[in-house]
Amino acid sequence: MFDLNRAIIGWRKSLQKSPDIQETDLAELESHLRDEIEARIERGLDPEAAFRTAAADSAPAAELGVEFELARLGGRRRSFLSPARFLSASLWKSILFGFRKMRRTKGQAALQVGGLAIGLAAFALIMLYVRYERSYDTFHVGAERIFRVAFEITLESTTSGAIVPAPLAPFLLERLPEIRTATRVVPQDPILLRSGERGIRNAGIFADAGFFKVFSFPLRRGTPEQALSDLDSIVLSRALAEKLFGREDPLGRILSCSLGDFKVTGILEDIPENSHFRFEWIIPLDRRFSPDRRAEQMGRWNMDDYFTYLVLDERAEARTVESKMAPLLRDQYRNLARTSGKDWWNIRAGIRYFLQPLKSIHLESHTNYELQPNGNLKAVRLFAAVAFLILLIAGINAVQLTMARAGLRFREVGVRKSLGAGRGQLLCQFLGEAQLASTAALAAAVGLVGLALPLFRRLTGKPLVLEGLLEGTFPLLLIMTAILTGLFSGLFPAVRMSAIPPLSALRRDRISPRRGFDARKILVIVQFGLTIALVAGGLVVFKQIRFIRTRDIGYDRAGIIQVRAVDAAVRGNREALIGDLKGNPEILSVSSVSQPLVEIGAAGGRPLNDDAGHEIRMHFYFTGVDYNFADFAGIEIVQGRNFSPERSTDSQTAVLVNEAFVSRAGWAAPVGKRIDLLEEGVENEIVGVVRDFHFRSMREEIEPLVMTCAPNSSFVLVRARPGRIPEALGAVREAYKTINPGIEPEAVVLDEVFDRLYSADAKLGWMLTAFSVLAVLLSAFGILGLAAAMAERRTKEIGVRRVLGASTAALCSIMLRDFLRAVLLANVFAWPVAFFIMNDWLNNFTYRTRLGLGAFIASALIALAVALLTAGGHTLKAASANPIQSLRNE
Amino acid sequence: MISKNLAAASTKPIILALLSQGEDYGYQIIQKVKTLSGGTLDWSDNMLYPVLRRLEETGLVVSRWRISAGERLRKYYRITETGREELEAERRQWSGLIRSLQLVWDPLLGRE
Repeated sequence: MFDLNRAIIGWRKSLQKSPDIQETDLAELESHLRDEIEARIERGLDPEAAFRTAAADSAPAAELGVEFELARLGGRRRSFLSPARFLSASLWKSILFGFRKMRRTKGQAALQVGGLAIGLAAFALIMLYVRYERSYDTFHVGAERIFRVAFEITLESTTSGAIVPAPLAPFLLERLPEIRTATRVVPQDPILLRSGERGIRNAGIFADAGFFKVFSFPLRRGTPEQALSDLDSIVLSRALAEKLFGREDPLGRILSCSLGDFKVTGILEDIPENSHFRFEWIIPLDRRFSPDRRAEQMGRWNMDDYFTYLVLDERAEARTVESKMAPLLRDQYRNLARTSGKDWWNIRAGIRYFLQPLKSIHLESHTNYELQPNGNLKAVRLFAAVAFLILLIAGINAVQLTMARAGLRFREVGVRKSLGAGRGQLLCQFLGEAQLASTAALAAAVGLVGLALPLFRRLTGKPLVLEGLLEGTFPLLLIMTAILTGLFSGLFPAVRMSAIPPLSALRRDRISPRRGFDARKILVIVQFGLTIALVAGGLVVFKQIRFIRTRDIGYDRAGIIQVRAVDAAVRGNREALIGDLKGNPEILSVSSVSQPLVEIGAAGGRPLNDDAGHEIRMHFYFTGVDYNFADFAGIEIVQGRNFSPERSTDSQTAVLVNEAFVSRAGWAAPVGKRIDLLEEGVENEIVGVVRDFHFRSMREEIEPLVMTCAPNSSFVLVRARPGRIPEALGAVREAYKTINPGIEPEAVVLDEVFDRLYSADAKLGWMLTAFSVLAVLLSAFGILGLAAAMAERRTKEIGVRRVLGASTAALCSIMLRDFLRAVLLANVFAWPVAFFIMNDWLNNFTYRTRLGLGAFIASALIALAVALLTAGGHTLKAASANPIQSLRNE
Repeated sequence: MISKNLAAASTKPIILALLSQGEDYGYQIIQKVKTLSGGTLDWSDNMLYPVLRRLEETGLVVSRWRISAGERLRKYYRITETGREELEAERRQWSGLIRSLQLVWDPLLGRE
């Protein structure tokens, strides 16, 4: 039985689908329909026929919607404060239109704005990091005029360092008027500072009185002029002062340590995190040596120990100063060679000295001797590139989604065009909408950055803050990025849509994808390619990190604890300490070395003759080791013998060298050679050769090493029983405290030291991973949009195929074929790009993993899986839909 | 039948003219147009309503919902002062147009 009311409600519902028809319009239209029906019934039709004919005569929802929309836009009265008074009318209309469109297609808009927001947030995060890395040492007043003197010398291999001899600074200051002032800095490993009962161990620096004339580390107490003026002054960090003195006023208090007694003359504000060196205390440089040795030590031209900073005159060019410096220093070394009669001074005449701008030190200085590990310019550049890649992917997404939505707006474009909207107006509208989306995305991105920042801080290890977004030109950069992204994502659809002839737009002619190239498919390929390259890059970084971690370093590192035993009370009692530790059941064996095992820093050089009589200018590292070191560490003696306590001369003259030393010296029979290696006036006898092991960064090749015999050396090595490291550490602490009551020893587990050394690489790996996951996610967004549009576009085709008997599976495979092709094509260009970039990065390492196919194949598979999963949903829905429905809709 | 373009162009003056004779609602307006034009102007579908909406937005007409005795709730439109001025302007334009068309056509007709 026909129910007129129900039929009218159904008809009304069909009109409600158009969001442009408002409730009040609906009521009026319904009223009209009822009038029509009544009139028809009066003419003799039955209610059902009257309804059908009346409904058929009324315009469809879409057309009515457009008309209402245009009526509202065309006729809006301008209120006095309306933005339309200030903006061009068409621009304002575009913005209004954009808002409405966004509100109407919520899902698509969310996808577009969300994708852009994630992209912009990733970009902002990375740029925060990049800007932070570039901000090092900029807080010093006149930072651009501060330079550090560094050297480089190429003998058989190249050595460089930011350290120079002590007399170099006064020497240059006297001769070069361009240098306004200078300060020397020498870092000191932790020493024990005592105030009464309390004792704290901290690392600090020795520095000239002019330290505060060069650097502007702010002081809380004391004045820059006075703080280091007396020989017995000491400047403390705020944290250290609080630990030592609590709430009492530290100024004028006396501290004692192995160097003597000091009076506190200044308290530093917290040292900014972005300083290339950090310290807890400063002591005048002259106190480094006792008064009787001071003049001699501070005058040595062959002891490279001093980080030397110069302040140049405003008018002086660093280049000019460098070129004036070189001959002065060369002549100085030649003079020394002449006056001393020692030829090796002439080697030093070959040292190249150069100036490093203070602000470039953190990222660009990678000499063999640095105050603290520096940043990595390559990594920063890599991340900047990743930031742009992600932005690009997000931008492509926005284009995809705009195009997908544009496909549903042919009718609208047609109607607007036939009503006289010019091409410019339509361009404006699409661009306005894109701009609106990117502005909304920027706002959301700022929120996302705030949310992600704590995690990102941990990932980078840098104290990044949200306020960083507002610093300097950063806001401008972000806004420009958003505007450009908007322009980029809007321009393409805008040009494309506004160029469609009105008639074909009204008829909903589609521009056939087979005609010429389909830009959207190209974009998908580019997007997939970028994603694959990013993922492959991340995987390669991980592979390299694992390669280094699991690489054989040449000795058995497991369970080794290194204890620094240099405190005054311990130094004379090392034998007792070692004896005590040897007896502990938690400890397998004990030995000692004079340099920290993972970073042997002492180095020397001297000319040698190889077997053919050629002069070899040998550069080598050296350390003292205990008799049993080779056995303790599991290092094989390949020639000759180990040190022996039975031979009384071993501890004076015997040395062990490594294989690298022998091969560089070109000696067939090194054992038994006697030579004054360490310039101490004593002939050293090479008693044995040890297999090469890593004693510095794994990034560096294994260099020549000389080991002297030094029982009970400064660094006591303890090997814990397997799995008993905490217990062994406890035993070390106890033994140390019986000798030096109340003082905590500085003990490190080598495995942890090793992890820290490579933590920068690990962080790089994690960051790349995080951002490639983001890239994959963003690509998935874009594909989702494209798949939806494609499924919609091919509805009729699917319907026909289904009616003709195609199965759901067959249909899916037809639809997905396009995506598979895109992924495969993307690989073609992604692989070479990723290969070259990652090969370049791996070349930073001396020992590098092979760039196998695995990472590439894995990333391709990930891209494939993402494409199938995201596109699959829509495809399945379209393919399994009832064909009657899809055919009727068309 | 009158062409679509012409119908679209004449919609506004016709509606304004009808409303200048008194308040009316959509369905009635359509019926009156049909009667007046002898069926040559056919607004059978409800595309009139967006036009009314546009006139209202531009301030030429105002509307209110009202129930006349024994009738349904309907939206009635009334012409405003601006609407009357606009109607007068339209009237002048159309009269001018018609005059010039007659001047052009009469000699043609005379020749046949």
